Amino acid sequence: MKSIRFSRRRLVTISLAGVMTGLLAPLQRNARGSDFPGYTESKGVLVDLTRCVGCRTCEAACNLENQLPAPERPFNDMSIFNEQSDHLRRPDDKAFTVVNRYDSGSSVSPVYRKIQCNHCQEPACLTSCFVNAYTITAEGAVLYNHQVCVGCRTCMIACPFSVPAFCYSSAFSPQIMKCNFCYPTRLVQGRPPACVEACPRDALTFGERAELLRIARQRIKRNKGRYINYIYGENEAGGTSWLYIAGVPFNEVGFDEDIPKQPIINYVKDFLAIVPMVLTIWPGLFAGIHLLVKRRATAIDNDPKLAESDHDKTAA
Amino acid sequence: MNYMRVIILFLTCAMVNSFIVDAVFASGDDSIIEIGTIATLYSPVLFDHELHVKYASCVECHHHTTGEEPSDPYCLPCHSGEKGIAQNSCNECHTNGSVDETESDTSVVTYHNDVPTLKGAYHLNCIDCHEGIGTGPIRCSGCHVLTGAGEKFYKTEKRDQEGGESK
Ligand code: SF4
Ligand code: SF4
Repeated sequence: MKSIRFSRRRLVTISLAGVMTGLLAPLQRNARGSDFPGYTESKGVLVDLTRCVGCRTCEAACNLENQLPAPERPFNDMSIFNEQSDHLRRPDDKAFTVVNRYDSGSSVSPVYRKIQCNHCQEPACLTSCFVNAYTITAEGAVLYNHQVCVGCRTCMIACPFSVPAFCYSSAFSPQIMKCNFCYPTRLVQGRPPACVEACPRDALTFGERAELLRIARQRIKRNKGRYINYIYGENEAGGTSWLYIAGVPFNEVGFDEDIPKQPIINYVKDFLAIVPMVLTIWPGLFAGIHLLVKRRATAIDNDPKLAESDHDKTAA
Repeated sequence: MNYMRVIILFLTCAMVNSFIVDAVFASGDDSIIEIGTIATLYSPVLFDHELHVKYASCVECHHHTTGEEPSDPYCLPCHSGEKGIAQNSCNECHTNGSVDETESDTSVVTYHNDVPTLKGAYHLNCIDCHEGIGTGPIRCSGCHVLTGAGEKFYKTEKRDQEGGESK
């Protein structure tokens, strides 16, 4: 008897500690979520939509660099843009980047836009992954490790830009496919990604993110009338390593302007706060229930009368 | 021994070619210039300088280097009234460096920052002007012929997908 009471007191202590941890955890998260300014040496790419001519050379360079399967049609086939009126192409398991054409109302000539992972500074894919299959490097590359992935596809839902794609051809070894910033082959040596090097129009500029922001502002200021005064990715989803400037409003060329300016983690932290609570309170709670049940069982064992009355109750 | 002379002539031409590429004035104003130092996926571009002089003034491609008054107001404070400078072919300022290299020294106020690469400078200037005046090629094949390497790169042939393996 005594030992059970002692255990119960300990349970209360453990549970209280659990509640405190549960309550404090969101505070810590919040501090990081809103104040983290990003790594200082963080790299990025500035995409200048006014320069892109839709030549798809970047797509071809990406395909070669990442040894992806051959496309259905050649990369210099521009007729692909004519067939996209109903559905725009998206990056998938066979192409980490695709270029789409937009007939923007604000521009006489069509506008082209390259899509790939934006390499968020606080990636939702990473924070949503419960087995830590994603990592972020000091350079800002968001990497995925298929050896850790269990194939739950939460990251596909979490990503505000719908980037991670699932490779359905290998159902038994899960594989999310997405742009890796050419980290293993280039970024690690300080070299720009393959698409950047291949672009004939310097529509893609590689450099330090802070420097790219400065260049973007300078281009907007120096070329009056060429750009709208906005850098997409500076604050979207808490800031992305890939930044965009354009001559037309971003919502006319397929950018989601409703993406929160704060890291996605800030919006799910209330939910995530439950996780430590579940992990800390539930063991205590269920251990308590278990012990109570066990106590009753022990009591029944010691006192057969109790067992009879119990039997009567169930029979009735 | 006639074929030897042909070969030597050919080699000399190839060497000379590699020197004059991108040097607009190297062989005179009215020549066809072969632009090919960076040509890998496409064969060198034959650029008719004389033709282009009819459409554009010097500054539109050569900025302040030929002695004409710069058209970009950003350049005027330093380069107004200049006599021009000796370096006026594209590759003397436009290198193939990334931003990190062109903007390595941030301690001084540099105006020549965010300079396009050589490849970028060609394509930005050529295509934007062609689009602006409504004449001249704006798509790749208008100026370029794909090389074998280019065909492989752009996966233009079916052999890349299946033929290569079956052989
Ligand atoms: S764009 Fe999507 S996949 Fe890429 S880092 Fe951000 S959340 Fe992750
Ligand atoms: S290579 Fe450059 S210009 Fe061509 S489609 Fe890609 S981003 Fe646009």
